[in-house]
Amino acid sequence: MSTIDIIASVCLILGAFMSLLAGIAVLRFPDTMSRIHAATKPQVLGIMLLMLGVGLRLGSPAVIGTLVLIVILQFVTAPVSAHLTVRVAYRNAQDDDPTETTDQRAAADDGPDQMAQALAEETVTGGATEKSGAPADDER
Amino acid sequence: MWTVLVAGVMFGFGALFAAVRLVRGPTQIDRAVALDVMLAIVVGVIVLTAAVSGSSITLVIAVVVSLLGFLGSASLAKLLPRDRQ
Repeated sequence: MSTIDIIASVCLILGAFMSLLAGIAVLRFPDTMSRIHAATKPQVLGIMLLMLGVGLRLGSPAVIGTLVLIVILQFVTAPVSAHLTVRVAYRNAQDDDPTETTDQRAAADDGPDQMAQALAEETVTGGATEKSGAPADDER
Repeated sequence: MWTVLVAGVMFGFGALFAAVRLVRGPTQIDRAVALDVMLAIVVGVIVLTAAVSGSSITLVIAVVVSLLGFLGSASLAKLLPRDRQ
């Protein structure tokens, strides 16, 4: 067993371990956001390690071309699909969030200027004093 | 060939945990995420098969499955209703 075979085996096992970690995290994490966060690990790092292992083991140019194609496709598509999923989850999850003081989702839909303004207002007034019923701000 | 055994057991348990979340998951988005993880595991198993058998013909299937995973997850995010739980 040569050195390259050992490195390839280590890469394959690390890539499989990423998949195991993602399975455990998807099962055990408490809410949807953290599950999505953990689920993107094997799609990028795990696939990359597996492709490295297979490329070291097989090593012909056609195989390496296919592997690079798979890695590039995963790098392009995995953040996009995670972003789309998180957007739906975020809009569903904020309907009953008691700690929310400013409607950041509506501000984000309006545009970056309104979002910065809403964040600045929340920083100035402070979430706790506003929640405790301070009758100060009549502007909003 | 203990590498294949260890990697296969890890893939199997990862897919099993994702399947439990797929059945149990409270919202539809959790199920979509679990399916995404399972498709990543399927790509990993196909690539592991190519590494074991030494033939590169199954890598084309891995390309197709990874593109299918993106298509499924994006269309689920687009078409899921805005449900409350």
